[in-house]
Amino acid sequence: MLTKRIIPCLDVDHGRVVKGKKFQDIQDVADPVELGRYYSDQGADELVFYDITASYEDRDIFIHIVEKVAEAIRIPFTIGGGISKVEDFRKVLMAGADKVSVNSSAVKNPQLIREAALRFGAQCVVLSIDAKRNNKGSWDVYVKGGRENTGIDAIEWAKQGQDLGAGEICINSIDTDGVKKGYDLELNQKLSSLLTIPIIASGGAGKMEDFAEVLKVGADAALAASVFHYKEIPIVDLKNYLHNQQIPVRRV
Amino acid sequence: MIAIVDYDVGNLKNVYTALGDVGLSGTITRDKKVLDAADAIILPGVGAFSDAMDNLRKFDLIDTLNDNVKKGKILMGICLGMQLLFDKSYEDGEFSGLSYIPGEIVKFNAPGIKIPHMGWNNLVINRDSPLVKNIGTEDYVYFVHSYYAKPDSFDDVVAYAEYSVKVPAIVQKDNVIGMQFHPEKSSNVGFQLLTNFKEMIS
Repeated sequence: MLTKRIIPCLDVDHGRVVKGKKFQDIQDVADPVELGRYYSDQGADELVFYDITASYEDRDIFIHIVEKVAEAIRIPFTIGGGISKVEDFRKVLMAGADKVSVNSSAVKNPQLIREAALRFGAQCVVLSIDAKRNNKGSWDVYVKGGRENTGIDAIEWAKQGQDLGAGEICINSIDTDGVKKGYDLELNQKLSSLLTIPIIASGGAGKMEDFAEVLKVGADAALAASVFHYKEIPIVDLKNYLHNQQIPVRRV
Repeated sequence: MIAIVDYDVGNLKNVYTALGDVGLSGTITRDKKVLDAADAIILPGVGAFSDAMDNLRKFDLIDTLNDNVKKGKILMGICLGMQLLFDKSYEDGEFSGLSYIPGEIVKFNAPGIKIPHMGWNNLVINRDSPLVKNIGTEDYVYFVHSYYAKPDSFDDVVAYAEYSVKVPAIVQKDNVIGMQFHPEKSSNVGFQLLTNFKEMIS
């Protein structure tokens, strides 16, 4: 039976892993290769490495990290941050990444999704969406690290992303991110029922119940950062808990 | 030496690295002499079926693969590389494959399932093979694909995974082997499977 995935996300700045609470208060945590290997041993199903400096700084350090990670770990991993051209996809895929996540650049140029999917396969194109609730009962797409509202409807954008060839949607709720009060269940439920590609829920994990809830409403995977980085929730314990909740998971 | 066929279908380094984990030395190549001299051949691949077949033709590799398979050399296809081993695929049209294993490649179409079949799924053993030594139903491997193999004979399926249908995960017909999932990305279970592969060729 296909299992639900647990995905630690590692924000990387100058080759070091950090975690921003609400995208601020960034604090150095660990070496990406070591932390990646640690999570893999603990039973993480995939990893996401997000280059938070990529939009405006040299990417060579990061490409080197991608190569080192690919040599060290044997689970799939996704690279995000600063990907704006098909050539950027090629670089990180050739460095050993399995998937590439695009966010603001795809909003700016939706054809990037189609071009990358045609060239490298839909399986490696993850459309990451930063969504925030508005006062009309829907969600707006934000870009530039959650600073700018595009006014685009998040659910419509997710559907368009699927039509353009994305293999997966990562939905990050800005309202719940860093607050640790649970994922946005309504948003994840809506997307899961409307889309035919897998959904990764992101933003808001604080306790083990939060993971169970979002996976039960239809998310195929749950992504989190700080609860793992600060060892508040060991992945082994989380997998056992989810298993006891009748949620199919892979346990190591 | 294991030849990893280089035909422009994505990154092959991860397969190379994982072979190293089990003590196999891989060579990423499209040189026919190297393929002929290899102890076994691995055909990796991600992307679209027709592009992959076009590339095998472009690099004039099909006769070399045919000759080596005929000689009894072990050929293992991974992911899209496994799908190429069959007669034909219906991915965005209808395209001929290498026809080493009778059957065709079709799209998942059950209502309500997510496509691609993406993530970790467990292997159910269908028949005995040295390939699945020390592998049981609690063993999970990493899949990512939207099309799956429908072999003419289910006896060619060594192990499958349940995803709306019985999805052939490991296929084998004589010296031709296929893995639909990524052993190089399947952690300890992938390591065991590649170890089994190593024992088969030594």
